[in-house]
Amino acid sequence: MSQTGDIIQTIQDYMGETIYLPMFLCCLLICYCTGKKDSRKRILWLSVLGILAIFNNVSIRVIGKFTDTITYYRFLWAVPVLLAIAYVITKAITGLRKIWEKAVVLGVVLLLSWGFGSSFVTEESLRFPENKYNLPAEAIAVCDIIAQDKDEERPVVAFDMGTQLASRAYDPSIVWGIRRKAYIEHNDMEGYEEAGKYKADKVLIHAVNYGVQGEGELLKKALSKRKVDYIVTFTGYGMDAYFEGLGYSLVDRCGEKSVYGKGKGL
Amino acid sequence: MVSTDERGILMLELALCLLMALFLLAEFMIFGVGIQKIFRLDFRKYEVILTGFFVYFGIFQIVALPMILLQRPFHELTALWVGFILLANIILLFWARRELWKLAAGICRGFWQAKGIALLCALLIIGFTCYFHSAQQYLGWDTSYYIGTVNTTVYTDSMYVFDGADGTAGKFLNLRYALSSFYMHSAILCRLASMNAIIVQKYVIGTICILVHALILFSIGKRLFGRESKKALSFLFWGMFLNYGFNTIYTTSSFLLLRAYEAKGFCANVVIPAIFYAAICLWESQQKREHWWMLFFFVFASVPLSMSSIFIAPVLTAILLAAEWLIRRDWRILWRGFWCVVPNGLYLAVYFLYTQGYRIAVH
Repeated sequence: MSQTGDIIQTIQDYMGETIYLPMFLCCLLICYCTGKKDSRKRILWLSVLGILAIFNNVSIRVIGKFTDTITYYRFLWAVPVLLAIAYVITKAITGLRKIWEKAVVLGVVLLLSWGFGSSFVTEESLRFPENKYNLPAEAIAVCDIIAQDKDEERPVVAFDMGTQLASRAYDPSIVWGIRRKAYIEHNDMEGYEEAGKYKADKVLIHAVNYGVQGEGELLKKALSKRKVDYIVTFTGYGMDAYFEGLGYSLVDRCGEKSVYGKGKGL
Repeated sequence: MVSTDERGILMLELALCLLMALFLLAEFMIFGVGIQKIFRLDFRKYEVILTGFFVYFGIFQIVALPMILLQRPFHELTALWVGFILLANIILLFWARRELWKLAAGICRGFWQAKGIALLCALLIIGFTCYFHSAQQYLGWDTSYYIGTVNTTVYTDSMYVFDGADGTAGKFLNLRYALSSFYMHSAILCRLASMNAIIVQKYVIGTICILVHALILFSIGKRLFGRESKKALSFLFWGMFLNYGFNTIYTTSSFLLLRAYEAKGFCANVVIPAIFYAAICLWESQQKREHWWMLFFFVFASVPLSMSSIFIAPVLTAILLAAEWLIRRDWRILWRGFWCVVPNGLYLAVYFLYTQGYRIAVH
């Protein structure tokens, strides 16, 4: 979501490539034109008050100071986009007598709502969960490897990002070695100038998420600082010898991932 | 290859999920009937369930919030809530048994009277949406945080003491999340059923969000189309169908189809549409007590359901009522509206103090 504090940009980000906003405005106009006197007044006043109180650049900045600008989009949930469109469609379809007229309205609706490649329904989304947790099977297997091997009740694990996202949804005994904010804000190959208090996390990200091998001393310090018990990374990075040199031996492999434990061995 | 034992456990867990969803729906009915009887209100059938949903979570917040702030162990909250539910059920099933039977019979009659293509389409789209939501493997940082919060609560027997995302112990209660007890309710279900949070959240809570959203759409349809059930069902169908094309990560549709189990999903698809519903009722008549009570319950339970509502719900209520006042020029609208947003005002005050550095240290 845009953090520029510009309402137009925010609305554009919210709507994406869909044409629901023009559809909504058309429906609002239809409701205004066909509505009774009181309904017209309501539409008018609600629009004016909404724009004056919330949907303007000043309000974005004021609200941004209280919470943060990035969550401002939630105020757009209060714009009844789908309710207005559904109301007009229902009125149109139930008001028509002939089947071909209904079919035309239906066709227009389908074209407008789904015809711009913005549908949630795709070949990939029509699926069944691969397991009862609906989590990647590989992430579950990695957590099981750690659970079977661990000596600590709550092991600290430095994961690659994908596995980290699924790990604690499956096993709450795991503690993340790389903090959430570090992954959100510093998940890149850049240097450490901007990392601040997340420098140790970023060193770990470099190693486990990008396979960087040239930061031995830094990584050793980071592993010690974050008290990491296990490392999970991509097997393809070929990190066995590198981690072995830092005291972390291969515990097991699973799919594309390798699990290394502090002072462990096969 | 799934073994026979694993398949048996899977079937048992799915059956438990279904039971939990049915149990919650029954509780919403019971609480709705109870509140109707206590306040001597006369709701429509679907309004009873809708109000019951909000009252249920509102009462849960009253029970849970002091225990969260006092950092009591989670098992105490579980015991207290189970005890309260048992007591409330025994009392209400005895005291309001006639009203409950009447409601159940009325719902069955309503389904029978509405039979036809519109009802079939509505049921199909609701069913498909429940399937679609359950089948998606959306995994974001928020998912990890919220599911992690529920799992951590059960695992550590504490509430908001550990960070839901990374599992580390916090120095103070994070009131950005701890002011809403929504996830603690899920944790109780997980504890009682001995199930992982992701299963309960995805299959039970997500389904409840979709069902309540559908109920609100139906209710709005009933109001907009003069009690014509078939038009209301058609409105419900289109209201849900349009979600499938409204695809950006920020939209209410995204929070319905991918993240209905999150508190934010409830804010976007339950709290806000419910406030709209109450406003539509008030447009019809500002004199009926039922309409004001509904608005009060919806806003009152908005924070218990989602911290995202802390600001949105009162602002939306204020705008809707201010517009009505500009048309009617009746000061009672603003006066009653003021009382509806008072609970959120209190939450906002506490949250503001928190952002200014007033913290509750973890002990």
